Amino acid sequence: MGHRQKAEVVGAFYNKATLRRLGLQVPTTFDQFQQSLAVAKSRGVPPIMVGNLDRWPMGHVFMVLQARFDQAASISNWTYGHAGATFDTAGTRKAATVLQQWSDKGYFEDGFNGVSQENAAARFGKGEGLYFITGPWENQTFAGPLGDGVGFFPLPSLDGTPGAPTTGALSLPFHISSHSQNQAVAAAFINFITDQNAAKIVIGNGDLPAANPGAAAVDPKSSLAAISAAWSEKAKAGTLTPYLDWATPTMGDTLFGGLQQLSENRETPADFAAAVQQDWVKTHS
Amino acid sequence: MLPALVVFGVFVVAPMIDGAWISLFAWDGVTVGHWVGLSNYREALVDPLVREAFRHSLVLVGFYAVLPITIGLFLTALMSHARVRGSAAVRTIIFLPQVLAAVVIGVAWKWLYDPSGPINSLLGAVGLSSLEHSWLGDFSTALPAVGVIGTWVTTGLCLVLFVAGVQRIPLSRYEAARVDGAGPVREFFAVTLPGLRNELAVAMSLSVITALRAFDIIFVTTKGGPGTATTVPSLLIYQRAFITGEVGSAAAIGAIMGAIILLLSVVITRVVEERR
Repeated sequence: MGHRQKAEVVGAFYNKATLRRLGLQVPTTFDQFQQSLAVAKSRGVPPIMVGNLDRWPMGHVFMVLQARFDQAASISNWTYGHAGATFDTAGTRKAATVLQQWSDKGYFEDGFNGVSQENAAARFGKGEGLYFITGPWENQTFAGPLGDGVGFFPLPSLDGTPGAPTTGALSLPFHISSHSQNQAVAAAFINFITDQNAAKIVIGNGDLPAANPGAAAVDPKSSLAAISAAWSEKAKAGTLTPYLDWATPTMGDTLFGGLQQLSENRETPADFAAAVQQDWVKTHS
Repeated sequence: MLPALVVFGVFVVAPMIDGAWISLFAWDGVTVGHWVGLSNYREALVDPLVREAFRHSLVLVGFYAVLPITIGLFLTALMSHARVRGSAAVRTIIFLPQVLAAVVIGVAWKWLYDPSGPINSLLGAVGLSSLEHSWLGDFSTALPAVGVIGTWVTTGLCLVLFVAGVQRIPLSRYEAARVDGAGPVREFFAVTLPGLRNELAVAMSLSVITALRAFDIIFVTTKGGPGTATTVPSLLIYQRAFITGEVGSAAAIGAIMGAIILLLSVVITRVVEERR
């Protein structure tokens, strides 16, 4: 076991002023969320900003969708390579179908497969678009310019019951090699970057620390407070689903490349699910 | 000669032999590999992704080699024929991409190609908004878009080579051509082009090699996407060697690529270069 510095939960960042201007409220069911996308689109606001030239950003959109439509246990079993697990489920195909529909309806910003993540994030920070589905690592890019004008919520479940599973994890852990000649120094360093004091610095930079420094350390009106609350709730309830690209060494390319094909209608949801499963079988058989 | 040979042997020949040796193993890069003979090559040759990558390389040869040489020759003809004002400045500007780091070039073009970036804005401003595109995100335009970056980079090199070559052609030949009543087009094909054979061979070898081993610009802009629309052999080598732990397979693709490059260089030098 290594030791982690940060925590991650994927959800929807939203522009509070834009939401108000469109006459909308923070959606509490998945249907309401989809309706808000339609309203934004009809009023000429890009519903979801995503810079998928980098290939991975759409992965997070897909993962939170899959967490709505598929069983959390099935997603974890598959990601961790448990025998007999499959990606090719009805829930996964439904999630892929919804993502394709969103693309068809123009719910993602124009030309998203040719926009870099940093450009998309910077423009959301300047007030463009309604939602940005990503994790706390982008929070500062948004909260820097927008301040309390940006909010965060985990994507609501289909029936609106709170506590639905969503994508998230502790950040990648730091390890000390058993062959290290300076284990005590290394341990002291890891301690230094993960302790309460480090947690305050992480918060100061708009990110979510793994060590809980207490609610008092976070401005309650900020998006970070909402992220922190979402993280605590999901982590305590054990309803976080892992990142799918952990499943195999090649999964990043297979999954993200597949999503680019899917979003441009060059692949059906069924073909997409089958291709991803094929990659998994190659590694786990 | 000897010191040069030693450096060449240690830093070029030895790694090549090492790479060829590794390509005969199934090796993850860390633990002990095992001998698999030529099966890495067999797998690479039937792998549809590898084949697609080499097809993309072929397209890139058009953008990295054919186009820059054509443009370079055209500009050379213009510059050698008339004293163009500020031609030195033009040469410098066109050569500039050669001295920029590929990462800088990639980042700059990524921004130029952005759906709301300068290229689309310009198209919109002149009333061609129907041509606006998500250049790097569209499956049909991504590879040509990456190719155009290559054209932009390589043209300068070709131009500088050709302009230098033209200065070596005796003026008397141009005078003779003019006395015989040759126009600018005739003069280009009768005097300039034959006089540039050696430069042409160098430009072709260098640009074809650049096209076949294109990596940096693609890695910075599209990472082989969308889907696999801009995946090239060097990208596969990188992924297999450093990400997925298939070092043997990566070495095999590298060896295939090396063989193709060597073959093409020999052909180009034989066919194009002047015999002494």
